[in-house]
Amino acid sequence: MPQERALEGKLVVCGVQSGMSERKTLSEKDLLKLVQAGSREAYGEVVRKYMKSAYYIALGIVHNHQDALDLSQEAFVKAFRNIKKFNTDKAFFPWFYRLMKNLCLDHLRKRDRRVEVPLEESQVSCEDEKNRELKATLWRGIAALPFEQRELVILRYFQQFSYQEIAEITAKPVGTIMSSLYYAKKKLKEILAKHLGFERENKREN
Amino acid sequence: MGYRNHQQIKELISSYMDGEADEKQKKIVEIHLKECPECQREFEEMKKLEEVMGQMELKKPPKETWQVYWSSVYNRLERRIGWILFSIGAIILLFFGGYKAVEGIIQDQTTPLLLKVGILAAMAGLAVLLVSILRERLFVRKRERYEEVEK
Repeated sequence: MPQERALEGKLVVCGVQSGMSERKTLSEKDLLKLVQAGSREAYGEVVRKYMKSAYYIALGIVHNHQDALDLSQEAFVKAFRNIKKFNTDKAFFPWFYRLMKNLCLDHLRKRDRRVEVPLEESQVSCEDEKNRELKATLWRGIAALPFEQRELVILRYFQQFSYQEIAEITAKPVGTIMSSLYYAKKKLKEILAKHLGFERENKREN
Repeated sequence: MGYRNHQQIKELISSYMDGEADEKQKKIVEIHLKECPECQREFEEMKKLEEVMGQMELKKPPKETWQVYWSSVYNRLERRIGWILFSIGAIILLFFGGYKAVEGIIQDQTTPLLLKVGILAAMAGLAVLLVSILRERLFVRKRERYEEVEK
């Protein structure tokens, strides 16, 4: 793609100016300071670093490829426009995540108001046929969780963030993360009960 | 159970399974699991759940998505500036054009009075609608930002 090459070209020019080796060892903090000074090239590096996490989390929230792509990119645009408000002493991703989450929630609110869009189950890849039905059921279960729990499930089990990182990203105490995840899993377990052969649990519930 | 209530132990088991428990917590869980069949059973079920969840992967987007991702963001950044400039220009042109048109219609002797009134009313209505839509957009956007809390 010619445009991309043009962008890379700029990066090299920039690298030559400030010394190539220096450029490579730039920490995220320095990179973000460059972005605050208006450097789009530096921002490109930040975006490349986080684009996958951003996309997959958005996908987990809105369940649709096109919307997830659109919303995550829009979030990066918004983050760039607001980058001056960002405190470079802190980590970029939690800040960015909150921004993207709000965009996604706005989007969901508008979408839900418009029409009841059926969730795309196919967003879970089922390469092996085994457990296909089970995974589809589980995915529906995740989609039906309250947002606060769904968000945690996505961050923990699909993005492999630690409790500590999730606490930072969502600005909640670790204890809350721990107990919310427990309740989320408990609910998912109940949904899956029939599939997994836990029927006897129903008898014991009361 | 003793010093902790059962609910807390269950939460602890869940974090133990996620590899988030420290040494002391691990001990508590392991001892508890041996003496509590209910938690033992829940532990097994949770394990199965996590196993299935571990096999689940979100669908990968088309390959080229990552190659063009940044340039799409870049384009949006650039386009945003373009749109702002264009909008400012368009608003100025629209107002100027509208003003000229109104002036022309009022001064034109050949147009019947009723037609003049009709055209002017339609234009005034259009202007009101435009301002109204613009205001709604701006205000709704500002307000919605604070309605983040779900349910």
